[in-house]
Amino acid sequence: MILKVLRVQGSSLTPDFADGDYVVVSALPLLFRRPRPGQVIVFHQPGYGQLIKRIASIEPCGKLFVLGSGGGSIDSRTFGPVERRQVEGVVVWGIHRQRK
Amino acid sequence: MFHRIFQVLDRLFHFEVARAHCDIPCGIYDPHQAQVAALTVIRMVDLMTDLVKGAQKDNAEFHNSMSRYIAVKEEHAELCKREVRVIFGDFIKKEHVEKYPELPTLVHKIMQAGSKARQSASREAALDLLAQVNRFAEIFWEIKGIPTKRVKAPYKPEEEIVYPVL
Repeated sequence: MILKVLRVQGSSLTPDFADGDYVVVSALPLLFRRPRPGQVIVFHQPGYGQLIKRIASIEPCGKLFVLGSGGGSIDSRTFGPVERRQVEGVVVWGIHRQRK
Repeated sequence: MFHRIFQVLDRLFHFEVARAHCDIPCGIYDPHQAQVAALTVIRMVDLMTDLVKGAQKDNAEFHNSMSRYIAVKEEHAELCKREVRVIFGDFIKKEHVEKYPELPTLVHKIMQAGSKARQSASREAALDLLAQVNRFAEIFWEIKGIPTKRVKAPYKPEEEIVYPVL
């Protein structure tokens, strides 16, 4: 996937990404460099579908521990670390709705 | 301005959605956390039982491990109750209760089973908590119009858990 546009649904990444924002996602950066903490990724999580979360840390086995920003976020604390093959891409551009 | 352009493109091409799940203001609810919490309670009871069967019973290591297992059991039994309470209070509406009249009694049973799981070290009590939460999950997904399946959790204690078929 070179580039893909997705609409963010939900509030677990606020204030960085809010419900209704758009993100441009690409797998290209991951071809040249491993994922690193701080990056926002889109991945497929069985039972949840396509999720967007921030990488909090990389586990010794290479799995990614992802978190949302809010206390109620459903993330690796619920479903465990994410495998590299589940990752669809990295957010390379965020298009934010004008905040009121 | 860019957002406006992307909104127009979205209407034309229907972009896929990337979900940023949470349970607070966005209306996204999931009983999975309650189910995992119930499984954790069972696992802690198993670990406590194994520890008691072990040779070393009267040293600091034993008491340290036992205290930690109890603390986690307490925490997850309470987390299970809290998650069910949030879904029942915020997501379940009057018409859902009319369609599933067992719901209030079921939630009450979960509250009681959660308390019993905290008070005792009984595996049966912990299993009862999971059974009630699994039924709650089944009803939750039925309300959402999503079929479910029962599978063994792919991790200890490997008890049966209800998953949505998405």
